[in-house]
Amino acid sequence: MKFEKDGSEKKFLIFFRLMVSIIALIEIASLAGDLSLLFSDNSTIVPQDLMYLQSGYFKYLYPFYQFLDSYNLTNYFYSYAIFLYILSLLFLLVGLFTRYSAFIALILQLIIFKSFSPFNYGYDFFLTMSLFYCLVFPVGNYYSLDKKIFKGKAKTNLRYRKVLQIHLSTVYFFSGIAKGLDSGWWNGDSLWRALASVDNSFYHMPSFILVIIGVGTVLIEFSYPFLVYKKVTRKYILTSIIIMHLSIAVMLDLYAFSTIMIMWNIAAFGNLDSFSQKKYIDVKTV
Amino acid sequence: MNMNITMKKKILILLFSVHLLLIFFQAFWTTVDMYFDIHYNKKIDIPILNVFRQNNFTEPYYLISGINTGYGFYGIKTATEKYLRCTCYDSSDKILNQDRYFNLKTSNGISRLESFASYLANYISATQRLSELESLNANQLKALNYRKDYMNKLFKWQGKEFAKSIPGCTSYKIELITIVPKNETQNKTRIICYSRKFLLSTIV
Repeated sequence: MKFEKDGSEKKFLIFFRLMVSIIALIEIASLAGDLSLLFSDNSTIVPQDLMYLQSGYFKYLYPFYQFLDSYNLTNYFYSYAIFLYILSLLFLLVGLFTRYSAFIALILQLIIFKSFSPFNYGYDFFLTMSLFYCLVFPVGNYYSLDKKIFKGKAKTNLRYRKVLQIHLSTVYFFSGIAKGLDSGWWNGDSLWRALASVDNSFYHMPSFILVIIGVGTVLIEFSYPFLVYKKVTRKYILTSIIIMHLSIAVMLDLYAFSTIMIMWNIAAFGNLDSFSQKKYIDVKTV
Repeated sequence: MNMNITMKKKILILLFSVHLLLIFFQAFWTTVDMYFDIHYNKKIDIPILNVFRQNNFTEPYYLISGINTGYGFYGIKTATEKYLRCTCYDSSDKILNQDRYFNLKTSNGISRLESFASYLANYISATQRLSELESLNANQLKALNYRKDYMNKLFKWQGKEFAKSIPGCTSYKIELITIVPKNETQNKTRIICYSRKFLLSTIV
Protein backbone atom coordinates (compact mmCIF):
# COMPACT_ATOMS: atom_id res chain seq x y z
CA MET A 1 0.00 0.00 0.00
CA LYS A 2 1.48 3.31 -1.04
CA PHE A 3 0.34 6.34 0.86
CA GLU A 4 2.64 8.80 -0.86
CA LYS A 5 0.82 11.98 -1.87
CA ASP A 6 -0.12 12.33 -5.51
CA GLY A 7 -1.42 15.90 -5.74
CA SER A 8 -5.12 15.14 -5.23
CA GLU A 9 -5.16 15.37 -1.41
CA LYS A 10 -6.26 19.00 -1.16
CA LYS A 11 -9.25 18.63 -3.46
CA PHE A 12 -10.19 15.33 -1.84
CA LEU A 13 -10.08 16.72 1.71
CA ILE A 14 -12.18 19.77 0.82
CA PHE A 15 -14.74 17.76 -1.16
CA PHE A 16 -15.05 15.09 1.52
CA ARG A 17 -15.59 17.53 4.40
CA LEU A 18 -18.16 19.62 2.53
CA MET A 19 -20.12 16.65 1.20
CA VAL A 20 -20.21 14.67 4.47
CA SER A 21 -21.55 17.66 6.40
CA ILE A 22 -24.07 18.61 3.68
CA ILE A 23 -25.41 15.04 3.36
CA ALA A 24 -25.67 14.63 7.14
CA LEU A 25 -27.49 17.97 7.45
CA ILE A 26 -29.95 17.13 4.67
CA GLU A 27 -30.59 13.68 6.13
CA ILE A 28 -31.35 14.93 9.64
CA ALA A 29 -33.56 17.67 8.14
CA SER A 30 -35.45 15.04 6.15
CA LEU A 31 -36.13 13.13 9.36
CA ALA A 32 -37.15 16.21 11.38
CA GLY A 33 -40.90 15.52 11.22
CA ASP A 34 -40.46 12.05 12.71
CA LEU A 35 -37.51 12.50 14.99
CA SER A 36 -39.57 12.71 18.19
CA LEU A 37 -41.01 9.26 17.40
CA LEU A 38 -37.50 7.82 17.24
CA PHE A 39 -35.48 9.91 19.66
CA SER A 40 -37.18 11.59 22.62
CA ASP A 41 -37.81 11.17 26.29
CA ASN A 42 -41.36 9.84 26.25
CA SER A 43 -42.98 9.93 22.81
CA THR A 44 -41.00 7.34 20.84
CA ILE A 45 -42.82 4.56 18.95
CA VAL A 46 -41.16 2.03 21.25
CA PRO A 47 -39.60 3.12 24.58
CA GLN A 48 -36.09 4.37 23.91
CA ASP A 49 -34.31 1.88 26.17
CA LEU A 50 -36.11 -1.04 24.51
CA MET A 51 -34.77 0.17 21.17
CA TYR A 52 -31.10 -0.12 22.09
CA LEU A 53 -31.46 -2.92 24.67
CA GLN A 54 -30.38 -5.65 22.24
CA SER A 55 -27.81 -3.63 20.33
CA GLY A 56 -24.05 -3.72 20.72
CA TYR A 57 -24.25 -0.14 21.98
CA PHE A 58 -26.26 -1.01 25.09
CA LYS A 59 -23.27 -1.22 27.41
CA TYR A 60 -22.26 2.32 26.44
CA LEU A 61 -25.67 3.94 26.08
CA TYR A 62 -27.24 2.54 29.23
CA PRO A 63 -24.66 4.03 31.66
CA PHE A 64 -24.82 7.26 29.70
CA TYR A 65 -28.60 7.57 30.09
CA GLN A 66 -28.32 6.43 33.73
CA PHE A 67 -25.84 9.23 34.33
CA LEU A 68 -28.19 11.76 32.71
CA ASP A 69 -31.07 10.44 34.82
CA SER A 70 -29.14 10.69 38.06
CA TYR A 71 -28.51 14.39 37.44
CA ASN A 72 -31.97 15.08 35.97
CA LEU A 73 -30.39 15.98 32.67
CA THR A 74 -32.33 13.60 30.41
CA ASN A 75 -34.87 16.22 29.31
CA TYR A 76 -32.12 18.73 28.53
CA PHE A 77 -30.21 16.15 26.59
CA TYR A 78 -33.16 15.23 24.39
CA SER A 79 -33.95 18.91 23.89
CA TYR A 80 -30.45 19.97 22.87
CA ALA A 81 -28.76 16.88 21.39
CA ILE A 82 -30.19 17.38 17.89
CA PHE A 83 -29.47 21.10 17.98
CA LEU A 84 -25.86 20.44 19.02
CA TYR A 85 -25.51 17.77 16.35
CA ILE A 86 -26.70 20.18 13.66
CA LEU A 87 -24.46 22.94 15.03
CA SER A 88 -21.40 20.68 14.98
CA LEU A 89 -22.20 19.70 11.38
CA LEU A 90 -22.46 23.39 10.43
CA PHE A 91 -19.09 24.04 12.10
CA LEU A 92 -17.67 21.10 10.16
CA LEU A 93 -19.13 22.47 6.95
CA VAL A 94 -17.45 25.86 7.30
CA GLY A 95 -14.33 24.32 8.83
CA LEU A 96 -14.46 26.04 12.19
CA PHE A 97 -12.70 24.10 14.97
CA THR A 98 -12.92 21.35 12.40
CA ARG A 99 -11.46 18.42 14.29
CA TYR A 100 -13.44 19.18 17.46
CA SER A 101 -16.61 19.67 15.40
CA ALA A 102 -16.05 16.34 13.65
CA PHE A 103 -15.50 14.65 17.01
CA ILE A 104 -18.65 16.13 18.56
CA ALA A 105 -20.70 15.34 15.43
CA LEU A 106 -19.40 11.75 15.48
CA ILE A 107 -20.18 11.18 19.17
CA LEU A 108 -23.63 12.77 18.91
CA GLN A 109 -24.41 10.86 15.71
CA LEU A 110 -23.55 7.63 17.52
CA ILE A 111 -25.58 8.50 20.62
CA ILE A 112 -28.62 9.80 18.72
CA PHE A 113 -28.86 7.22 15.96
CA LYS A 114 -27.77 4.18 17.96
CA SER A 115 -30.43 5.06 20.54
CA PHE A 116 -32.86 3.76 17.92
CA SER A 117 -30.54 1.17 16.40
CA PRO A 118 -33.22 -1.26 15.10
CA PHE A 119 -34.32 1.64 12.86
CA ASN A 120 -30.78 2.03 11.47
CA TYR A 121 -29.62 0.94 8.05
CA GLY A 122 -26.50 1.10 5.87
CA TYR A 123 -26.50 4.88 5.63
CA ASP A 124 -25.99 5.28 9.38
CA PHE A 125 -22.87 3.11 9.36
CA PHE A 126 -21.43 4.97 6.38
CA LEU A 127 -22.12 8.30 8.04
CA THR A 128 -20.31 7.13 11.19
CA MET A 129 -17.35 6.06 9.03
CA SER A 130 -17.44 9.38 7.14
CA LEU A 131 -17.46 11.44 10.33
CA PHE A 132 -14.66 9.26 11.72
CA TYR A 133 -12.61 10.02 8.60
CA CYS A 134 -13.39 13.74 9.02
CA LEU A 135 -11.94 13.38 12.52
CA VAL A 136 -8.73 11.58 11.55
CA PHE A 137 -8.05 13.22 8.17
CA PRO A 138 -6.87 16.86 8.18
CA VAL A 139 -10.08 17.98 6.44
CA GLY A 140 -9.89 21.44 7.99
CA ASN A 141 -6.52 22.26 6.44
CA TYR A 142 -7.94 23.90 3.34
CA TYR A 143 -10.82 26.17 2.42
CA SER A 144 -11.87 26.51 6.05
CA LEU A 145 -12.42 29.20 8.65
CA ASP A 146 -9.76 27.50 10.77
CA LYS A 147 -7.25 28.26 8.05
CA LYS A 148 -8.39 31.85 7.81
CA ILE A 149 -8.51 32.52 11.54
CA PHE A 150 -5.54 30.55 12.83
CA LYS A 151 -3.39 30.95 9.69
CA GLY A 152 -1.45 27.74 10.28
CA LYS A 153 0.67 26.30 7.54
CA ALA A 154 -1.25 23.53 5.82
CA LYS A 155 0.65 20.26 5.66
CA THR A 156 -0.68 17.21 3.91
CA ASN A 157 2.07 14.67 3.81
CA LEU A 158 -0.06 11.65 3.23
CA ARG A 159 -2.39 10.37 0.54
CA TYR A 160 -5.49 10.12 2.72
CA ARG A 161 -7.60 9.46 -0.35
CA LYS A 162 -5.92 6.06 -0.57
CA VAL A 163 -7.58 4.99 2.72
CA LEU A 164 -11.02 5.70 1.29
CA GLN A 165 -10.12 4.00 -1.99
CA ILE A 166 -9.07 0.75 -0.26
CA HIS A 167 -12.06 0.89 2.09
CA LEU A 168 -14.49 1.31 -0.81
CA SER A 169 -12.84 -1.43 -2.87
CA THR A 170 -13.17 -3.79 0.12
CA VAL A 171 -16.85 -2.88 0.49
CA TYR A 172 -17.75 -3.71 -3.12
CA PHE A 173 -15.48 -6.75 -3.37
CA PHE A 174 -17.12 -8.46 -0.39
CA SER A 175 -20.57 -7.28 -1.38
CA GLY A 176 -19.94 -8.91 -4.80
CA ILE A 177 -18.67 -12.11 -3.18
CA ALA A 178 -21.67 -12.31 -0.83
CA LYS A 179 -24.06 -11.93 -3.76
CA GLY A 180 -22.07 -14.31 -5.95
CA LEU A 181 -22.34 -17.04 -3.29
CA ASP A 182 -26.13 -16.87 -3.51
CA SER A 183 -27.67 -18.68 -6.47
CA GLY A 184 -30.56 -16.21 -6.35
CA TRP A 185 -28.38 -13.45 -7.76
CA TRP A 186 -27.64 -15.61 -10.83
CA ASN A 187 -31.26 -16.48 -11.63
CA GLY A 188 -33.02 -13.20 -10.85
CA ASP A 189 -34.73 -14.47 -7.68
CA SER A 190 -32.71 -12.34 -5.24
CA LEU A 191 -33.24 -9.20 -7.26
CA TRP A 192 -36.96 -9.91 -7.30
CA ARG A 193 -36.86 -10.38 -3.53
CA ALA A 194 -34.98 -7.12 -3.06
CA LEU A 195 -37.40 -5.18 -5.26
CA ALA A 196 -40.76 -6.76 -4.38
CA SER A 197 -42.86 -4.26 -2.51
CA VAL A 198 -46.47 -3.56 -1.67
CA ASP A 199 -45.89 0.07 -2.62
CA ASN A 200 -44.53 -0.18 -6.15
CA SER A 201 -44.20 -2.56 -9.07
CA PHE A 202 -40.53 -2.25 -10.01
CA TYR A 203 -40.21 -5.98 -9.36
CA HIS A 204 -42.68 -6.71 -12.13
CA MET A 205 -40.31 -7.17 -15.05
CA PRO A 206 -39.49 -10.06 -17.38
CA SER A 207 -37.36 -12.79 -15.80
CA PHE A 208 -34.48 -12.34 -18.22
CA ILE A 209 -34.18 -8.66 -17.26
CA LEU A 210 -34.01 -9.67 -13.58
CA VAL A 211 -31.27 -12.19 -14.46
CA ILE A 212 -29.27 -9.63 -16.46
CA ILE A 213 -29.48 -6.97 -13.75
CA GLY A 214 -28.73 -9.51 -10.99
CA VAL A 215 -25.67 -10.97 -12.74
CA GLY A 216 -24.59 -7.46 -13.75
CA THR A 217 -24.73 -6.29 -10.14
CA VAL A 218 -22.59 -9.22 -8.95
CA LEU A 219 -20.00 -8.63 -11.69
CA ILE A 220 -19.85 -4.86 -11.21
CA GLU A 221 -19.36 -5.14 -7.45
CA PHE A 222 -16.90 -8.02 -7.60
CA SER A 223 -14.76 -6.49 -10.33
CA TYR A 224 -14.83 -2.96 -8.87
CA PRO A 225 -11.43 -3.11 -7.11
CA PHE A 226 -9.78 -4.55 -10.24
CA LEU A 227 -11.26 -2.14 -12.76
CA VAL A 228 -11.34 1.09 -10.77
CA TYR A 229 -7.56 1.28 -10.40
CA LYS A 230 -7.00 1.07 -14.17
CA LYS A 231 -7.36 4.43 -15.82
CA VAL A 232 -8.89 2.90 -18.98
CA THR A 233 -11.75 1.18 -17.15
CA ARG A 234 -12.23 3.59 -14.23
CA LYS A 235 -14.86 5.82 -15.80
CA TYR A 236 -16.91 2.82 -16.96
CA ILE A 237 -16.96 1.08 -13.59
CA LEU A 238 -17.62 4.37 -11.77
CA THR A 239 -20.50 5.18 -14.12
CA SER A 240 -21.93 1.67 -13.65
CA ILE A 241 -21.73 1.81 -9.89
CA ILE A 242 -23.29 5.29 -9.78
CA ILE A 243 -26.16 4.09 -12.01
CA MET A 244 -26.58 1.12 -9.65
CA HIS A 245 -26.85 3.45 -6.65
CA LEU A 246 -29.26 5.78 -8.44
CA SER A 247 -31.45 2.74 -9.18
CA ILE A 248 -31.28 1.72 -5.52
CA ALA A 249 -32.37 5.24 -4.55
CA VAL A 250 -35.38 5.18 -6.86
CA MET A 251 -36.47 1.55 -6.52
CA LEU A 252 -35.78 0.96 -2.82
CA ASP A 253 -36.30 4.52 -1.56
CA LEU A 254 -32.83 4.48 -0.01
CA TYR A 255 -31.93 8.04 -0.99
CA ALA A 256 -29.52 8.88 1.82
CA PHE A 257 -27.65 5.59 1.48
CA SER A 258 -27.29 5.99 -2.28
CA THR A 259 -26.17 9.60 -1.95
CA ILE A 260 -23.45 8.82 0.55
CA MET A 261 -22.22 5.88 -1.55
CA ILE A 262 -22.09 8.01 -4.70
CA MET A 263 -20.24 10.69 -2.74
CA TRP A 264 -17.69 8.11 -1.50
CA ASN A 265 -17.13 6.92 -5.07
CA ILE A 266 -16.56 10.44 -6.37
CA ALA A 267 -14.36 11.36 -3.40
CA ALA A 268 -12.26 8.20 -3.73
CA PHE A 269 -11.92 7.81 -7.48
CA GLY A 270 -13.69 10.70 -9.21
CA ASN A 271 -11.94 13.43 -11.10
CA LEU A 272 -11.98 16.29 -8.62
CA ASP A 273 -9.99 18.65 -10.85
CA SER A 274 -13.09 20.48 -11.97
CA PHE A 275 -13.79 21.17 -8.32
CA SER A 276 -10.42 22.87 -7.81
CA GLN A 277 -8.60 25.63 -9.71
CA LYS A 278 -11.32 28.18 -10.39
CA LYS A 279 -14.16 26.83 -8.30
CA TYR A 280 -12.65 27.15 -4.83
CA ILE A 281 -10.46 29.74 -3.26
CA ASP A 282 -7.50 28.47 -1.35
CA VAL A 283 -7.50 30.53 1.82
CA LYS A 284 -3.72 30.57 1.73
CA THR A 285 -3.86 32.76 -1.35
CA VAL A 286 -6.46 35.17 0.01
CA MET B 1 11.89 18.60 12.52
CA ASN B 2 11.99 16.50 9.36
CA MET B 3 12.56 13.42 11.45
CA ASN B 4 9.42 14.24 13.45
CA ILE B 5 7.40 14.56 10.26
CA THR B 6 8.76 11.29 8.92
CA MET B 7 8.01 9.55 12.19
CA LYS B 8 4.49 11.01 12.31
CA LYS B 9 3.95 9.87 8.75
CA LYS B 10 5.16 6.36 9.55
CA ILE B 11 2.86 6.15 12.57
CA LEU B 12 -0.11 7.35 10.48
CA ILE B 13 0.63 4.79 7.77
CA LEU B 14 0.81 2.07 10.41
CA LEU B 15 -2.49 3.14 12.00
CA PHE B 16 -4.31 3.37 8.67
CA SER B 17 -2.92 -0.02 7.64
CA VAL B 18 -4.28 -1.59 10.84
CA HIS B 19 -7.60 0.21 10.28
CA LEU B 20 -7.89 -1.15 6.74
CA LEU B 21 -6.85 -4.60 7.90
CA LEU B 22 -9.71 -4.59 10.44
CA ILE B 23 -12.15 -3.51 7.71
CA PHE B 24 -10.93 -6.31 5.44
CA PHE B 25 -11.14 -8.81 8.27
CA GLN B 26 -14.62 -7.72 9.36
CA ALA B 27 -15.90 -7.89 5.78
CA PHE B 28 -14.32 -11.32 5.27
CA TRP B 29 -15.57 -12.66 8.59
CA THR B 30 -19.18 -11.47 8.24
CA THR B 31 -19.40 -12.92 4.71
CA VAL B 32 -18.03 -16.33 5.73
CA ASP B 33 -20.04 -16.34 8.97
CA MET B 34 -23.29 -15.55 7.20
CA TYR B 35 -22.62 -18.17 4.50
CA PHE B 36 -22.03 -20.96 7.04
CA ASP B 37 -24.89 -19.81 9.22
CA ILE B 38 -27.41 -19.87 6.36
CA HIS B 39 -26.19 -22.90 4.39
CA TYR B 40 -24.95 -25.16 7.20
CA ASN B 41 -26.71 -23.67 10.23
CA LYS B 42 -23.49 -23.43 12.19
CA LYS B 43 -21.09 -20.80 13.44
CA ILE B 44 -17.44 -21.16 12.55
CA ASP B 45 -14.83 -20.59 15.19
CA ILE B 46 -11.17 -20.02 14.36
CA PRO B 47 -9.47 -19.06 17.66
CA ILE B 48 -6.52 -17.23 16.10
CA LEU B 49 -8.86 -14.96 14.13
CA ASN B 50 -10.82 -14.05 17.26
CA VAL B 51 -8.05 -11.58 18.10
CA PHE B 52 -9.25 -9.34 15.26
CA ARG B 53 -12.94 -9.94 15.80
CA GLN B 54 -15.09 -7.49 17.67
CA ASN B 55 -14.08 -8.39 21.22
CA ASN B 56 -13.74 -6.48 24.47
CA PHE B 57 -10.45 -4.94 23.34
CA THR B 58 -11.29 -4.05 19.76
CA GLU B 59 -14.99 -3.23 20.20
CA PRO B 60 -14.67 0.49 21.13
CA TYR B 61 -12.62 1.11 18.00
CA TYR B 62 -15.03 -0.85 15.82
CA LEU B 63 -17.98 1.11 17.18
CA ILE B 64 -16.54 4.61 17.03
CA SER B 65 -15.13 4.16 13.54
CA GLY B 66 -18.38 2.60 12.28
CA ILE B 67 -16.59 -0.44 10.82
CA ASN B 68 -18.62 -2.88 12.94
CA THR B 69 -20.65 -3.89 9.91
CA GLY B 70 -20.52 -6.32 7.03
CA TYR B 71 -21.03 -5.29 3.43
CA GLY B 72 -23.15 -8.10 2.04
CA PHE B 73 -26.03 -5.76 1.20
CA TYR B 74 -28.95 -7.92 0.05
CA GLY B 75 -26.30 -10.63 -0.38
CA ILE B 76 -26.69 -14.18 0.83
CA LYS B 77 -30.35 -15.24 1.06
CA THR B 78 -31.89 -11.91 0.18
CA ALA B 79 -34.75 -10.98 2.46
CA THR B 80 -38.05 -9.74 1.11
CA GLU B 81 -39.84 -6.61 2.23
CA LYS B 82 -41.31 -6.71 5.71
CA TYR B 83 -43.83 -4.34 7.17
CA LEU B 84 -45.88 -3.90 10.31
CA ARG B 85 -49.62 -3.35 10.39
CA CYS B 86 -51.74 -2.15 13.25
CA THR B 87 -55.48 -2.76 13.35
CA CYS B 88 -57.54 -0.91 15.96
CA TYR B 89 -60.82 -2.29 17.33
CA ASP B 90 -63.61 -0.88 19.44
CA SER B 91 -65.25 -2.69 22.38
CA SER B 92 -67.47 -4.74 20.02
CA ASP B 93 -64.42 -5.86 17.98
CA LYS B 94 -65.33 -3.67 15.04
CA ILE B 95 -62.35 -2.42 13.03
CA LEU B 96 -61.87 1.32 13.54
CA ASN B 97 -58.63 1.85 11.69
CA GLN B 98 -55.79 0.05 9.99
CA ASP B 99 -52.37 1.58 9.47
CA ARG B 100 -48.80 0.74 8.45
CA TYR B 101 -46.96 3.92 9.32
CA PHE B 102 -47.54 4.43 13.07
CA ASN B 103 -47.77 8.23 12.76
CA LEU B 104 -44.47 8.42 10.84
CA LYS B 105 -44.77 11.02 8.09
CA THR B 106 -41.45 11.39 6.32
CA SER B 107 -40.14 9.05 3.65
CA ASN B 108 -36.93 8.75 5.68
CA GLY B 109 -38.88 7.71 8.79
CA ILE B 110 -40.97 5.20 6.83
CA SER B 111 -37.82 3.65 5.29
CA ARG B 112 -36.41 3.28 8.78
CA LEU B 113 -39.63 1.61 9.93
CA GLU B 114 -39.02 -1.02 7.26
CA SER B 115 -35.57 -1.64 8.78
CA PHE B 116 -37.28 -2.12 12.14
CA ALA B 117 -39.71 -4.65 10.63
CA SER B 118 -36.74 -6.59 9.19
CA TYR B 119 -35.03 -6.44 12.57
CA LEU B 120 -38.13 -7.91 14.22
CA ALA B 121 -38.37 -10.65 11.59
CA ASN B 122 -34.73 -11.63 12.14
CA TYR B 123 -35.23 -11.57 15.90
CA ILE B 124 -38.29 -13.82 15.64
CA SER B 125 -36.40 -16.19 13.35
CA ALA B 126 -33.40 -16.42 15.71
CA THR B 127 -35.75 -16.99 18.68
CA GLN B 128 -37.55 -19.69 16.72
CA ARG B 129 -34.26 -21.43 15.96
CA LEU B 130 -33.31 -21.33 19.63
CA SER B 131 -36.65 -22.82 20.66
CA GLU B 132 -36.22 -25.65 18.13
CA LEU B 133 -33.00 -26.92 19.70
CA GLU B 134 -33.39 -30.49 20.94
CA SER B 135 -32.30 -29.76 24.48
CA LEU B 136 -31.86 -26.43 26.17
CA ASN B 137 -29.54 -25.82 29.12
CA ALA B 138 -30.53 -23.40 31.90
CA ASN B 139 -28.85 -20.43 30.22
CA GLN B 140 -30.43 -21.13 26.85
CA LEU B 141 -33.84 -21.49 28.47
CA LYS B 142 -33.34 -18.18 30.26
CA ALA B 143 -32.26 -16.56 27.00
CA LEU B 144 -35.26 -18.00 25.19
CA ASN B 145 -37.71 -16.67 27.77
CA TYR B 146 -35.98 -13.32 27.73
CA ARG B 147 -36.18 -13.12 23.94
CA LYS B 148 -39.88 -14.04 23.92
CA ASP B 149 -40.60 -11.44 26.58
CA TYR B 150 -38.61 -8.78 24.74
CA MET B 151 -40.36 -9.56 21.47
CA ASN B 152 -43.75 -9.40 23.12
CA LYS B 153 -42.95 -6.02 24.68
CA LEU B 154 -41.71 -4.60 21.37
CA PHE B 155 -44.89 -5.58 19.56
CA LYS B 156 -47.07 -4.41 22.42
CA TRP B 157 -45.47 -0.99 22.52
CA GLN B 158 -45.25 -0.69 18.76
CA GLY B 159 -48.99 -0.14 18.38
CA LYS B 160 -49.73 1.51 21.69
CA GLU B 161 -49.15 5.17 20.79
CA PHE B 162 -51.00 4.79 17.51
CA ALA B 163 -53.94 2.94 19.10
CA LYS B 164 -54.17 5.59 21.82
CA SER B 165 -54.65 8.25 19.16
CA ILE B 166 -57.73 6.46 17.72
CA PRO B 167 -60.93 7.52 19.56
CA GLY B 168 -62.95 4.59 20.91
CA CYS B 169 -60.13 2.08 20.47
CA THR B 170 -60.07 -0.57 23.18
CA SER B 171 -57.77 -3.14 21.62
CA TYR B 172 -55.37 -3.44 18.73
CA LYS B 173 -53.64 -6.12 16.71
CA ILE B 174 -50.07 -5.92 15.49
CA GLU B 175 -48.99 -7.99 12.51
CA LEU B 176 -45.59 -8.46 10.96
CA ILE B 177 -46.10 -9.20 7.28
CA THR B 178 -43.64 -10.31 4.64
CA ILE B 179 -43.86 -10.67 0.88
CA VAL B 180 -42.94 -13.95 -0.80
CA PRO B 181 -43.01 -15.09 -4.44
CA LYS B 182 -46.31 -16.77 -5.29
CA ASN B 183 -45.35 -18.70 -8.40
CA GLU B 184 -43.02 -18.78 -11.40
CA THR B 185 -44.74 -15.77 -12.93
CA GLN B 186 -43.35 -13.85 -9.98
CA ASN B 187 -46.58 -12.61 -8.59
CA LYS B 188 -46.32 -11.79 -4.94
CA THR B 189 -48.28 -12.88 -1.96
CA ARG B 190 -48.16 -11.90 1.68
CA ILE B 191 -47.46 -14.02 4.70
CA ILE B 192 -48.13 -12.96 8.24
CA CYS B 193 -45.03 -13.80 10.30
CA TYR B 194 -46.39 -12.67 13.62
CA SER B 195 -49.76 -11.53 14.82
CA ARG B 196 -50.88 -10.64 18.29
CA LYS B 197 -53.79 -8.74 19.74
CA PHE B 198 -53.42 -6.51 22.80
CA LEU B 199 -55.94 -4.77 25.02
CA LEU B 200 -55.10 -1.08 25.18
CA SER B 201 -55.88 -0.89 28.90
CA THR B 202 -53.40 -3.64 29.82
CA ILE B 203 -50.31 -1.87 28.54
CA VAL B 204 -47.75 -1.53 31.31
